[in-house]
Amino acid sequence: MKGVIFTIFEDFIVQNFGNEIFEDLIDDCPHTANEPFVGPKSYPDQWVVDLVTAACGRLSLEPDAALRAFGKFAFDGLTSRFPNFLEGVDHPRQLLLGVHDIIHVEVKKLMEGATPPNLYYDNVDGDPDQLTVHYESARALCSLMEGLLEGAAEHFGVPIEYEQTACTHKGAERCTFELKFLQPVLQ
Amino acid sequence: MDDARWEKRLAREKQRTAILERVIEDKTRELHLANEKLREHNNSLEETVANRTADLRAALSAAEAASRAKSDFLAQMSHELRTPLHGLGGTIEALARTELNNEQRRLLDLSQKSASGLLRVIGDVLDFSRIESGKLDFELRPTCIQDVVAQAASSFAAAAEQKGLILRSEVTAANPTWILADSHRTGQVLANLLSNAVKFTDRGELSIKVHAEQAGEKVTATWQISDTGCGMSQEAASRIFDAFQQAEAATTRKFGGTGLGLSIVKGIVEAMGGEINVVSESGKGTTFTFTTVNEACEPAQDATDQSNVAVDLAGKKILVVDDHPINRMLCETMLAETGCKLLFATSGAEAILQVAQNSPDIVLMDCHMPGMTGLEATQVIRATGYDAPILAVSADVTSENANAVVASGMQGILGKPFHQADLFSRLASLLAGESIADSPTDQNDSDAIPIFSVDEAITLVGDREDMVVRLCEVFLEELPASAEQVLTALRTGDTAAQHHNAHGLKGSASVISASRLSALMAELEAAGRAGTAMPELADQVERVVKETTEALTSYLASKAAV
Repeated sequence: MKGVIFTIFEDFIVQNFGNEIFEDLIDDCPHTANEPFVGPKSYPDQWVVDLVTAACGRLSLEPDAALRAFGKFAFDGLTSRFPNFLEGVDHPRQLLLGVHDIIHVEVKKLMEGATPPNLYYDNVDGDPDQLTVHYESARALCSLMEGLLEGAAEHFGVPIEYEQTACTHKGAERCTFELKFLQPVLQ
Repeated sequence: MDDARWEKRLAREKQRTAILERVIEDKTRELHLANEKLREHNNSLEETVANRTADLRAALSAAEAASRAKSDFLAQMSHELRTPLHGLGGTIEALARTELNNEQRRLLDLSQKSASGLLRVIGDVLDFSRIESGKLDFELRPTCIQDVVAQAASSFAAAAEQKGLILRSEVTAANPTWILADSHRTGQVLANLLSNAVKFTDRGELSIKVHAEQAGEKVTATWQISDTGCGMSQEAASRIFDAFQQAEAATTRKFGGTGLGLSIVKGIVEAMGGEINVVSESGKGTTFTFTTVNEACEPAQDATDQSNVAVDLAGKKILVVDDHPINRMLCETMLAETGCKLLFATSGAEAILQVAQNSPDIVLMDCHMPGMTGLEATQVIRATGYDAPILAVSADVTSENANAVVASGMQGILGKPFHQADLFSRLASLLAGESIADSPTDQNDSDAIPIFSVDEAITLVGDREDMVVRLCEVFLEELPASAEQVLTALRTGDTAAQHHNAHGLKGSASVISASRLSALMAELEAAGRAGTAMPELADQVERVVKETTEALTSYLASKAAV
């Protein structure tokens, strides 16, 4: 996992629960306490799991809800750090369709060793108010994906109704989201 | 948070800054190295491109030079080969007309066949090189499809009959169909295909079928040449149009040939804007089909006597200009029995004077002569107003030379070597409807006319003063005798001689711009033709001849002094 996710997580905890809690979480996860996170470096996936687990334990949060909340927060964190990816984009459908082929390709170029999830789409040429997104990642963080969707909806002011019709946690090969955009795409 | 925790946080933030600084430095170094590498790569790439460009440029210029050398070599060789072949062919023709026993005649036939075979090969090679360099010229003239087919069929009738083959020809079209085409090239295509058909067929028949359709101004013709000969395999048919290829390697041994014929056929058909295909089956026969699209046109003026090359040369004056005695002799032999009157000149300068004095009905002009070339001589002759046909005789039949020949004022080229029939047919077509127009001068007041104008003479011969000097020398040499002939005619009142002799002197005087003399002679010539004797002008003739002699002598002296 890239350091940028850890630094956004740090902001998320500090802004929502204060410095004290963050320091507690660091103390809870000893290997993370040795070195501060920096955006360009990569860290073991397990560390983020440890941090989230510690946060849920300390704050009595349900893990999926916590990941969703973090995802929503992370959308703004990511777009404020990489504003280029939003240039000329004015609808979440447009952004989503560019994630796999444009954004993640660029991410791999910019960040050595980055392994972003694979996103596949159905209904690309169909109804512009709808889109099917398949999420595929060894990290299986589909709740984070949900949070990011919510963040995108808020950012563009376009509400997204979604239904997760398949999930790797329930034995599917990949997670599938049926999306419905409540404002039509401006042609 | 207590102080200890803040200090821990501070230490971690400092560490974060240090890590980030290191990351930035590492990335900066990496970037710098990558840039350096890129620059080096760029430089070496530019060098490579520059080297390759130089190599390519050198290769291109070498290829161009080689191609030019090849063209020059071909043109030169064609000239060098055709000239002795001309001599050979003509000598054989002359020899064939003498008394020969059977064995001698057989040997002579063999020589003739070898010579014409060689000529065909040279022609093929030349055509092939023209096609290759895109220099194939077409002379578009009103052409009758039916005539072209009939001519092709008739030239192969004997060969077909000899092998016991039936030769059919058929044209389906509105009769007769006239198109703007090069009949020679079209005939060449047919002849090539028919010659193959005859060669490779032992029984059955050969046919030429043409289907012509007119749509608006265009006539589309489909030409089909079929035989029931040995045919060839699909694979052989697929490369039959490639140069130096024949259906089977054994073909060369059995039938000979350069393997250029069909490649030339394809080249000609394609250069005419058409395409050619072959369908063949081993043991069954072969059919070549090609299409042409030409503009429809009105029938040619001389349509009626197009096929009739019999020519009446009796009484015609033909001037043969050639520096080689053998070429003059050949023309003499070929034309001996026609009853024409032959005149000879061995140089351009002599030709000019001969034309002026004798007004031949036609001039056969060698192009390459030492000193004044045939082209230069023609320019001078045309400038004097002579308008009868002048036919270039040259081994150089390239389009460049053909253009130069026409530009100089000649009517065309007769390629060396030529057969008697070629010579006759060219003479016939040039003499048909041609009239020899004298160009009488209207100047009467002879004294108002300049005696001799050097500038005019120089302009006349194309800015070649050396030529004017030579012409003046020759003229001065002949002047006393020709003047005496005119004077004798005047004194004896022989108006026919007056007309004839004055005409000759008028011509040669006008060439060197001895205008006063030539005007005076024109007057005498006209009077003589009208049967009017003019003895009273004898004194004036003597005076003008004297003035002219003095003027020319002093001009030559001034030149000699330089």
